[in-house]
Amino acid sequence: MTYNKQVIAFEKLPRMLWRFFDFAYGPDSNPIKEWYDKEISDEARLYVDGLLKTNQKIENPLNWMGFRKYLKGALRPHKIWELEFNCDARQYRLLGIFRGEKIAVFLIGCYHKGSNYTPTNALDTAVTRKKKLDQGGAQLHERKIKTDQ
Amino acid sequence: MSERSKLINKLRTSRDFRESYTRAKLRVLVPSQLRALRLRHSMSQPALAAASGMKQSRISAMEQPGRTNFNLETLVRIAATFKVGLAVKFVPFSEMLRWENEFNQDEFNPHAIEDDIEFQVPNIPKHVAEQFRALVAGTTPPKIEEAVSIAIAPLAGGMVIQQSTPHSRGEVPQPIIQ
Repeated sequence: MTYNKQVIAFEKLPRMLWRFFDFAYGPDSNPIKEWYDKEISDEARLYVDGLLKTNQKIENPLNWMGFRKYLKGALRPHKIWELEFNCDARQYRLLGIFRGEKIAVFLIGCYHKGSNYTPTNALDTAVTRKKKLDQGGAQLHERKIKTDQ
Repeated sequence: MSERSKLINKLRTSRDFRESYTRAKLRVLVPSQLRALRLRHSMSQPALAAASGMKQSRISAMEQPGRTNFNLETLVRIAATFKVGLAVKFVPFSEMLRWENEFNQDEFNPHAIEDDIEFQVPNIPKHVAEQFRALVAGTTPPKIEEAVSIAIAPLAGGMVIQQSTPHSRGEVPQPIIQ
């Protein structure tokens, strides 16, 4: 029996949060930012912000909100996953990869309906960008988590 | 104008934007809570569907951000399935933002009625309830009747929990024992 004992609770150690990065060709060429700033609605932007804020604290990405496992078929070796949310009667997808410890990189933002992506070459673009990243021909720009919004 | 100033301005001037703001937050945080509860109870989607009298496809959709228009009755049914309450309230934007910032799906764990000592033992001091939770963290909580037999005695350096009687189910694992 272990009663009549003093209990000292551990001070909880802060867990490392996930960090999210945009694929970028250079300092002024960030296609994810371009998509986020210019191509999606205010509400969709709020979804993206909210998803990242929530998901950064979820240890296992399989439990992330909107996370869809690696794309299948020919794309499987590239281990590209999707972050999905519905807004404006559309299904938005952010395609990404993991890179390093608790780092997620977004390769492209797009729409999805049925089995079609918009832009139609979204998957090819994602693969191309991943390869470019692997070859050191691209940059990563960190996406700030907006705790003040 | 900073991004935050722009946001505040939109919130002040546009009802559509206010709707978008609230909708986007709720449609991430409600599915996230639902998933957290399901995982906390080690339930599959089909198991939750069976327990709540819904279809698995509906549970799946409810866990997807933005996929479902939740209605109160659905949320009430989910809450009842997990033996927890449900609070729906109108709040200032600051409170909603604070909720979003502080919410953690991995740690979200509202106590089911069996473990809700504050509900079952009204007027129990908050720190006693917290000590109780610390005591049973990571293990099966003792029955409430046993919990109320926990005596609190002050000691240098903090409070101490003493159980007046041995736990009927045997040893209670402790985080650290001195």
